[in-house]
Amino acid sequence: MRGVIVAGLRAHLPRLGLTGLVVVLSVGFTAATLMLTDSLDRARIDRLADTVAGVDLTVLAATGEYLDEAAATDVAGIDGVAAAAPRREVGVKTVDPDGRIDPLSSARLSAVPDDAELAGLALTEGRAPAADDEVVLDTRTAARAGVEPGETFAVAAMDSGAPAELTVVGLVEPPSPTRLDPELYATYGGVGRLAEPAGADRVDLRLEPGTDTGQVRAELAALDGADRVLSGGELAQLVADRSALTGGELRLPLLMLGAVSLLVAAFVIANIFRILIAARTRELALLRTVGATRRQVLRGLLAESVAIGIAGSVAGVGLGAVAALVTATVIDSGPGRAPLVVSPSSVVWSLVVGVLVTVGSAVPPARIATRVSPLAALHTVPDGADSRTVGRVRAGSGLLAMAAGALLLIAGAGPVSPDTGLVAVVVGAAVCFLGLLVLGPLVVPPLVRALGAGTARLAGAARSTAELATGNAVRNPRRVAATTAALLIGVTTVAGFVTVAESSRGSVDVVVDGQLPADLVVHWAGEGDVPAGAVRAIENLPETGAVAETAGGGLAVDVPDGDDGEAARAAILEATHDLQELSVESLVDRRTELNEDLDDAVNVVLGVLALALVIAFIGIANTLSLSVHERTREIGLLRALGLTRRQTRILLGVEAALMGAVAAVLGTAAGALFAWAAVLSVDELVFVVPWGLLALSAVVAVALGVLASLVPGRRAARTAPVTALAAE
Amino acid sequence: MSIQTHAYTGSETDSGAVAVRAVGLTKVYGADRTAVRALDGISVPFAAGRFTAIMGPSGSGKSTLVHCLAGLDTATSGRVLLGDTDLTSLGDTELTLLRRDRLGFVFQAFNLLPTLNAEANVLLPLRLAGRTVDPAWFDEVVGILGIQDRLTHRPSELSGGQQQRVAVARALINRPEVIFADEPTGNLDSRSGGEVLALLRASVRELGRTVVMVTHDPAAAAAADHVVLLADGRLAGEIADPTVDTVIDHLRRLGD
Ligand SMILES: Nc1ncnc2c1ncn2[C@@H]1O[C@H](COP(=O)(O)OP(=O)(O)OP(=O)(O)O)[C@@H](O)[C@H]1O
Ligand SMILES: [Mg+2]
Repeated sequence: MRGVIVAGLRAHLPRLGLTGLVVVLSVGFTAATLMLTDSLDRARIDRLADTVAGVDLTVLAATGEYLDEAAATDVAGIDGVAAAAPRREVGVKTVDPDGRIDPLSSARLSAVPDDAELAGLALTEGRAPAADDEVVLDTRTAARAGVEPGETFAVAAMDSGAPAELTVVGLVEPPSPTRLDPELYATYGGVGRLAEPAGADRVDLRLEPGTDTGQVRAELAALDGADRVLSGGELAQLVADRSALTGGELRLPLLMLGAVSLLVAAFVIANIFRILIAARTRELALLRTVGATRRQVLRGLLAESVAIGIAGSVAGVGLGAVAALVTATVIDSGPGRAPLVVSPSSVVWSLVVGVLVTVGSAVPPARIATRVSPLAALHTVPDGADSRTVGRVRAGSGLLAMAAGALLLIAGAGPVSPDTGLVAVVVGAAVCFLGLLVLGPLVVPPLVRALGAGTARLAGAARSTAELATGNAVRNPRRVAATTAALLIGVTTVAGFVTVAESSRGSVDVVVDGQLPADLVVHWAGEGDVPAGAVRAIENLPETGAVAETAGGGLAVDVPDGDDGEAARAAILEATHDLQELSVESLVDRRTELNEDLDDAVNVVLGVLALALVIAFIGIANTLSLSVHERTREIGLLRALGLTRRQTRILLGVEAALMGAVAAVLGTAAGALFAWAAVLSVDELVFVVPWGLLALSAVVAVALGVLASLVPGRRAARTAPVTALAAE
Repeated sequence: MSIQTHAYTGSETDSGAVAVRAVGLTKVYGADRTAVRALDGISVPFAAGRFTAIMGPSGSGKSTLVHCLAGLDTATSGRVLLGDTDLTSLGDTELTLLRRDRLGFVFQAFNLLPTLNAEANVLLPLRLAGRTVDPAWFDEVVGILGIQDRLTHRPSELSGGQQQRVAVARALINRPEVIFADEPTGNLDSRSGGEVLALLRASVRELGRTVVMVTHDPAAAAAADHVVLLADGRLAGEIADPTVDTVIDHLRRLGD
C-alpha cells in the first residue's frame, strides 16, 4: 500500500504542492504570531531585568506605605552593604507640544540612584540626572514633546497639578515598542518634590563581594516598615509581572485573526482533496477491485494528507520564524532586543494545528470516496458533476443553526444588558455563519444561477458563454459551495470589520460633537476651576466667540464659522502664557487623532485578513485548474464546435467571477448584518454603513475570482480540439 | 460499379464540384526515431453533395485525415482546401470560427456537453456564434431526427443512439459545407447504427449536405456514395457505388 501512496503523491505533486502552500501560509501565520509575541515579551522582560541587574537585595514597603529616607541611611550602615538607594515611582502628567500640562497624559516618573550600578539606566544620549531639577526621558516621549537635552520639560503631580520644570539631561530607549506610556527618570529628591506622601517604596542594595546574604536579609527584615526582602532575581520577576506584557496584548487578537485564515484554509484543503480524490476515483476503484479493502484505501488517502500536513506545517513554522524575526526587528530595533524566541510550545502548537486542520479537512472527502462501489466507479467518467442531493440532516441542522444564531443576534442587539449583549452578538454571528456554511450547497447554486441569469440580457455570443459558465459553476453544489465558502469567510470578516470600524469613526464624530458643540476646549490641569481672570481674558479675545464652562471643569470655546480655530488657539495660549496648567485642545485635532489611531488599527487588521483572502484566492485558482483538468474533453469538444481561445478564457473568468460575486453578495450582507447587531449592542456606538468600503470589498472579491481564473483559463484555451476525441 | 486495383493517385473524380480536398498532406507524430508518419503525402478530393466513407485498417490514418480536413488538427505539411479556403494558412481563431460556421461534427463518443440539455446542445454552434436559430429550420432538423420529445433531456438521460441523433442534429443546424463523422456508429447496436446512417444519408439526399465519414463497418460504408481506402497513411484505392460485398472484397485485398 505504501508504494501506491507514494506513486499517488508523486503523480499529483503540483496540486498537492498548492495544498501544502495553503498549509504553509496559515501555519506560518500562527507560528509567527506565537514567536513574535514571545520575542517581544522576552525583550521587554530582559530590559526590565537589566534595569535592576545591579541590585543584590531590595527591601519593599507594604503596598500604599512608604519607607522614610532614614531607612536608606540605616540600611547603608549594615555590614557588607556597598551601596543602598531609596527608590520611588510616581504617576505624573506631562506637557503637550504647546508646553502646557496635558490633563489626559499619564507618565511614570522613577527615582534613579546616584550609584550607577544600581541605577541600571541604558542611556542613548547625555547623562543620568544629578540635580533635583534634572530629568531623563525616553526618546519617543522626547520626540513627541519636541524637546532635546538641555531644554526644559514640565511635569505635574497627578492630583495637585502644580507643574515642576525639569531640565532634560539624557535620553533612554523606550522600554517597549508598543506601549506608549512615557518613562521619565529623576533623582530621588526630584521625584520627592512630586511624591505625596513622601518616602521610598523600596530600597535597593548592592553588597560587598563575599557578603553573607542571609545575615543581611535578616537585618533588613527587622527594618522599620519593611514588608518583604527580595533578591535581585526576584525583583526582576516582580517588575516583569507588574508590567503588562506587550506580547500578551497582541497575542489574542492576532490568534483570532489567524483562526480566520485557518478556517479558510480548511475549506480550501478539503476542496482540493475532494477534487483530487474524484479525479482518482477510477484508480481507487481499480485498487478496490484487485483486492484493496475500504480501510486500506482510506488509510492510504489519509496517509497522504498526514504527509502534506507535516511537510506544510514544518515549512510553515520555518516561514513563521522568518516572518516573526523580520517583524520583531522592524517594530522593535532598540538595544537589548532579545533574539527570536522559539519556544517548544509555539512549534508544537503550530505543528499540531497544521496537521490537524489538514488531516481533518481530508477525512470527509476520503470517506466519501471509499464508499463508492468499485464497479460503479470504473464505469463513470469523472466530469466534476455531483448528482448527490443535499441531505435533510444537513439542511435541517443548517437552518436550525441560522435560526438560533439569528435569535442570539437579535437578543444581543436589543433587550439584553450591554455587558452580555456583545458576547451574545459574537456567539450569534458565529453560529449563524456556521449555519450559512452548512447550507452552502443549497444556497450557493441558486444564487449563482440567479446572478448568471442576470447575464441573460447580454447579447449574442457573450450570453452563451455566460450560460455555459453558470452551468459549469453549479454542476457540483458541494464544490462550488466550498470554493465560495473560502472567499465568503474572508469577505464577511472584512465587511463586518470595516462596518464596525466605520461606525466607531462615525460615533467619534457624534460623541465629540454631541458632548461639546464647540471648536476648542480649554483644559485646566491645576486645582479647582480655570482662574476667573483667564476666563475673562479668553472671552475678551477678538478671535473667540461664545465661551461656556464644561462638565469637566474646562471651557468650551466657539470660533467664528469658517475659521479652523488656529488663530483663536494661538491667541488663547498667548493670553495665558503664565498658566502652564492651562492647555487648549482643538476638536478637529482630537477627531483627527482618534481617527488616525483607528486607521492604524484598521490597516493592521485588514493586512492580516488579506492573508485569508490570499488563501481563498489560491483555493479558487486551484479548484478551477483542477476542473479544467477534469473537463479537458469537454473543453476540447467546445473548441471543436467553435469556442475560440478568447471565449474559453472568458468562460473560466465568468465562472470564477460568479463565485466571487456570490461570496461578495453573501459576505457583504452577512458582515454588515453582524456588524449592525454588534454596534447596536454597544450603547455609545451609532451604526454607519460604509457603502464605499463595502462596495470596494465586494469588487475585490469578484476581481480576486477573475484573477484566479487567468492561469487555468490560459491552460484551458490551449486545449487542442482533438483532445476531445482522444480515446481515454 | 468500377474498381480500380492499381494504386490510386488521387486524380479528380468526374462528379463535379469538390467540397474539401487534401493536397500532399503529411502528418508526423513525434520526432526522430519515435516519429510516426500517420499521413504520408496524401492527396484526395471529396465531392460536394456526396456521402463519402473512409475505410482502412486500424492505424492507417483515417482519424488523422479527418482531423486535419476538419481543422481540428494541423498537418505537418501539405494543404487542406475547404472550397477556396486554405485551412493550413489560418490561425487558431480563424480556424475555430471556420469550424463553427462552416463545418459540422459527429464523433464516436462524447459528442454532447453533459451540463446542457439536448436542445441547447443542438443550438451550441449557433449560440457560440451569437446567432439565433431559424425556428422553422430547427423544427425541420429536429423532426427529421425524431428527437422532438427529448429536447429537454440531459445527455445522461439519453440512450447512445439518441445521443448520436442529437449530435447529427447539431452537425446540421448551422447548414455546414461539410459534415465530418468519425465512427459515428461505432458505439451503437446495428439497429441504432442503421438509423444514424439513414439520417446521414438523408442529410445528403434531402438537405444537399456533404458528408465525410470514417467507418470500420462494411455495411455502414455501403450506405455511402463513395469509399476511399487508406493504408499506412496513403491512398490505397477507391470504390464508387459500394456494396457490402465489394467493400469486404477490397478490405481483404488491402490486408494481403
Ligand atoms: N496523438 C498521437 N501521437 C502519436 N501518434 C499518433 C497520435 N495519433 C495517432 N497516432 C498514430 O498515427 C497513426 C494513425 O492513427 P489514426 O488514429 O489516424 O488511425 P485510424 O486509422 O483512425 O485507426 P483506428 O481505426 O484504430 O481508429 C497510428 O499509427 C497512430 O498510432
Ligand atoms: Mg480512428
